[in-house]
Amino acid sequence: MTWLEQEIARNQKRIDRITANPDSTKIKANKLLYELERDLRIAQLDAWKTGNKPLINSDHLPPLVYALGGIGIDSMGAADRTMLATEYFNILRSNNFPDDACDRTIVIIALCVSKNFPPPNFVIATSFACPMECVSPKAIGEYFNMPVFHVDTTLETSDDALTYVADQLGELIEFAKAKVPGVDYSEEKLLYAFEQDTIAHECAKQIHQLRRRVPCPLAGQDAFRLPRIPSMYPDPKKGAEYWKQFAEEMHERAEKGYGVLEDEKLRFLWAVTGPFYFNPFDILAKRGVAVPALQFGVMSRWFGAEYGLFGDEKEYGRKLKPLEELARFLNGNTWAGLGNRWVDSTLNMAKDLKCDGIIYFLQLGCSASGGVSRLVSERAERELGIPTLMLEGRQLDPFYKSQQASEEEMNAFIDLCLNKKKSKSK
Amino acid sequence: MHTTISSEKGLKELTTLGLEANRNKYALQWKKDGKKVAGLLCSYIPEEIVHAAGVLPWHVFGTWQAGTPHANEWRPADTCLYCNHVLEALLTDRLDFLDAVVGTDWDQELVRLWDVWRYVEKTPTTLIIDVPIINTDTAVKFLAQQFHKFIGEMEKLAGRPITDDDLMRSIAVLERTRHLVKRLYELRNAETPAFTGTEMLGLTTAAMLMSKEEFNDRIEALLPYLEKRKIPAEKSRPRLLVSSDRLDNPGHLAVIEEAGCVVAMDDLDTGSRHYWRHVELSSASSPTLRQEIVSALARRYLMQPASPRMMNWQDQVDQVVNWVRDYNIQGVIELPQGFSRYREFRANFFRNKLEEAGIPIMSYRREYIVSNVGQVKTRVGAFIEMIESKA
Repeated sequence: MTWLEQEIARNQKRIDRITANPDSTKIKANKLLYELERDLRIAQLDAWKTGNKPLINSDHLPPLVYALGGIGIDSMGAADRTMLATEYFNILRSNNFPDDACDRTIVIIALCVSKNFPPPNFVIATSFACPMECVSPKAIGEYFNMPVFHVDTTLETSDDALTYVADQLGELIEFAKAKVPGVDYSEEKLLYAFEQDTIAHECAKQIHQLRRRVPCPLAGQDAFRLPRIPSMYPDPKKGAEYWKQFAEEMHERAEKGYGVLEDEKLRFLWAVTGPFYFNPFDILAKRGVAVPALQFGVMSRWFGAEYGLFGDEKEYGRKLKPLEELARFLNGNTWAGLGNRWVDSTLNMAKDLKCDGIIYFLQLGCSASGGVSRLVSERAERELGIPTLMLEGRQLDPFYKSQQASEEEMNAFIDLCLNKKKSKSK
Repeated sequence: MHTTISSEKGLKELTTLGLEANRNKYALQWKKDGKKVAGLLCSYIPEEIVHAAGVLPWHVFGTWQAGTPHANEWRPADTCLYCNHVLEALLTDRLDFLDAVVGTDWDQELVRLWDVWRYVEKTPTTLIIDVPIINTDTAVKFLAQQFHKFIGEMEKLAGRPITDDDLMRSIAVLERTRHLVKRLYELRNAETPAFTGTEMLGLTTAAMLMSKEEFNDRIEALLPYLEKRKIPAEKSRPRLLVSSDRLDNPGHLAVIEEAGCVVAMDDLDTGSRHYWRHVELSSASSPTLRQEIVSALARRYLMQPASPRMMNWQDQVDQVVNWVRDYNIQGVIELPQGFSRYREFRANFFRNKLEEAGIPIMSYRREYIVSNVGQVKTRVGAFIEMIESKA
């Protein structure tokens, strides 16, 4: 059974379990989410086996992949879901690929090389988040001799930069039409994808407002869940429906004054990523620490903290054409570009959510976040008066650092923050 | 015309200029003369524009000392080693003489080095150029926009405008350097090369640390001597090509050559890649001379033999294959610097394509500093044996 088939079975099992024994303490919208995940994997498997539709990696440009008539390959998202990737690191080593770069960017290579996951029929390699999220799909495309198109994003946002990226997207569409069988670009579909993604985005904005409440109505684990944009699913409307349900439930919780923690003593912003092989939020919750948000590259845009996702005219002072909208999205990831974009965004988020501390996950090999980690901690201390814990680790490798060591560091940090809060209140 | 020494001594002066004790020499003299120095962090920065502003384009090398304790307080140790060693040099006050530092997004590690550089405020001016990872016409146009902006920033630094004449003069100087360096590469191509790979890297890095005019004068004066020079015949086989990035320490090549070979060609951004491509002005395409100059520079820098940061991997392999053929190379040694992600992700492709072309290749992950000497010699020795057994 391939990893993809295992995922279908896993999601089906979750759906069956929820159907048979609904748990009132869990979010009901989860069922819809598992159905979406299952349906995506089924569509990927079908396209892989039959070739009925082109498989296109969609981590960075889901609406465009949908508009090209492709089935999205969520390379990084799939890697995240391996949870524990020891066997994949070995595959990388034996094939001359790096084994100490950021986990999600390398594990997907091993998933494809080991035939556990379909390689895309067409690769879109963009520097949207970081160089590794660009060269990882490229390496897969070159390995399997598939057509690869590169989209270069920019260090800073400007009108020139927007035009530059939008022009490349136009070239991408022509390239795909000429080189990839089954591609059939439709602007109508692109606009439909924007529409569904915008519905989800409006829900995300509402959720973000709820995060600010004390006590926080979101569990750390829910906050940590990376949002999946509706257009990456075969049925974007169902993806938008999930967000509507999720937001409604969050509202209900908040209106009832139902905080996830009985006694919220502290609030931490969790930044970058985290260990996927254990749940650090249980430890935090036991000590009364809420984690209202995960700060990552597109966090502020996706949750509307700065600009809207699509259709927001504020940033450029005019209505943008569809490909310009995509270009605006591509150039807006705070992981990419100059460091102050990421540092400012992280500090703004911590301030906005009234956080008492930041847990900054120092993911091995993450060039985007590691190189400015001290800038975050120094400025957080100076400008917000809050400390930062640099928690070293790997997302998918429990052998890099023990769970016990991580827990000890978090507990010590909680003590420090509690003492700090106590002395402040005196 | 500067005073020149047309002899082995003159050659040695140049080949040792990059040593840590010597490398600031010209920059400090430049400062004493009341002129400004800009530290460049990448081979995609248009030196012509810096030169046209009357500022010394001085390429920043890191400290060659083993530890980077100060840098490690700012950057995880398991990140780009060049960046860590450069930051160590900055934080230990070895780069205090710089009036400006210019970075690019060669990779994100370099951007993050630049972020810290700006934050610590040890250099008055911090500039960065957004260099595309693709070399299409669209990308050339975007880079030209970046270069126009960079001209404005260099004008501010220089305190005077940069004219078209300034730019044309600087292009001529830099082109002269490129022609001279390529002449040196021709001398490597002789059956018994004029100098070792170690010496050649000393020469190519010297040009990155001194005034181009003086480098040109010195090489012109040395050429008659160099054209007759030969390394010992027993050290001239097998002929290998070394491929790496940010390799500024000739000691790495010395260790390889001590294993019993000559590095007769390189694929380095401190070597061939930095000098290979010329600036070609076209009379037809642009409405003004300024636009044409800047477009020509953008074309030159984006079309130069590419670093792995560029996405044209097949062209990069083809370039190496051509050099292997043109320089009668028997094997390729790839020296990925630790945590150089672009090269690491390209490694599978690079190796497979060279093997398909029948070119033996070995790869050894290196530190920024010269280390593990015994192990490198053993690995290279085994590689040489393998090549010779096939010959």
